Amino acid sequence: MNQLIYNFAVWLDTHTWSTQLHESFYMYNWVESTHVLALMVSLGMLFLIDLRMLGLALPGIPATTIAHRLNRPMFIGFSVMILTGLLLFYAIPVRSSQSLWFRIKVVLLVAAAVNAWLFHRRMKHASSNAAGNWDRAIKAPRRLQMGAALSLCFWVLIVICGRLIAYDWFDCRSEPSAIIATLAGCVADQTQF
Amino acid sequence: MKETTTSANTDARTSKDAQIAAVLASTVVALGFVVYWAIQIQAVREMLALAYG
Amino acid sequence: MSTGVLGSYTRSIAVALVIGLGLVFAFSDARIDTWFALLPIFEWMETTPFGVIGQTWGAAFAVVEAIHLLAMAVLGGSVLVSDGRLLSLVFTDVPLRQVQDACHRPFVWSLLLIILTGVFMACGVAIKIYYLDVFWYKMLALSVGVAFVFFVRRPLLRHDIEHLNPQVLRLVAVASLMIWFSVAATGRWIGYSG
Repeated sequence: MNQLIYNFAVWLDTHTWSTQLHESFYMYNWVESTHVLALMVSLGMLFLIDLRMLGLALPGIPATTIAHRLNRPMFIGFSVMILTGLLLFYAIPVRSSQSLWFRIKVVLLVAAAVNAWLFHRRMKHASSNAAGNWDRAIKAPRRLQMGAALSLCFWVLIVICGRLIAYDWFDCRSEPSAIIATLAGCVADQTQF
Repeated sequence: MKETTTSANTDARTSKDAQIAAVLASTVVALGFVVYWAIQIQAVREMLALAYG
Repeated sequence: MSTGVLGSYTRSIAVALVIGLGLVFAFSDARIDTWFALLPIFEWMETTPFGVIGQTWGAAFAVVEAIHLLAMAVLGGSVLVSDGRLLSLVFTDVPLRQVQDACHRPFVWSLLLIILTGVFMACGVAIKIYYLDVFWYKMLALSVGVAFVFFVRRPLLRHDIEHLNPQVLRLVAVASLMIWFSVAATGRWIGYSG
């Protein structure tokens, strides 16, 4: 599996656009800046929704109203982050694919997406429930609170992992331990880093 | 009755004061924003011209 | 309710004075003198526990920076929602006063966290940022942002919304978005400088 990922990353690295993006004077910085600034839109909306469910923000405004109204700007922000994230990966594919922090981040992103899907399903069920008068309550029902809390945890860890990608403590070039090397996807006798 | 009218007039004056202050501050902020980012964008363009010709 | 010290237009006069003094300061030698006077403080910052930790453990600095980003996300969210409401873009069926009041608490808490984490990070790279123009622009934008929220925006929105000119509210919202975008963007630029 690691060999497959490495081969794919090396193939991406052969693309002219990949090299041009990586070596550009400003383009890479702008893509990265957009990726980080889009946080304020996507995560900003997401955190407000989660904090509302936990009764920590925006009291008095119906919880489902917040969730539904902030969904669109949140998804616009996430779309921008996914696009810029893919471009950042495309610019430096080998190092990114073999970054332990990047791999953990991707796993957490998948977990966050599954959690979000479950959360929305539960919210829909809770709203259609006859006893669904929780909308104006300070806190959402317990299961939604758990989903919101998990969401907050996942995204805090995702941002921390994203920030740690820049550090090369566990890079394949620095010959890490066997376990780290396996988790990071280091390939024996690899010539590109 | 007279006190209510006086109070209403005072509220109207402080409201007008707050609005004038808001317009003043917002206009200066907007001008500063435009000037600063115009300079930054121009500087970036010059750097790009230097780098790529 | 009594009028202020400067009559009925206390706030307007005060804002005009602050703007005037700010411009005089910006274009005078006082600005350079102040900058020189701040150097010992920035040198001291690097010797504090925050500074030592930030310089010694990159991971600590990175985690604090991540928290800084997360707090920025919450601040950004509350600014976007409250200014979006002023611009009648979001939550148009929810009373304006309710949205503003609801967004204020997350705004304040995230701002406090941003400042706290920002001070920690500044201590770690104090001398480097002292010589960066973009850092000072960020501090200017942050100061203007805080002053704008607490001395212009909040006092304005305490009044009866029906008696406020909608164009003024829109102008305030646009200015607010400009300030906080500038704070975020200049902050990001610091990372690419030096």
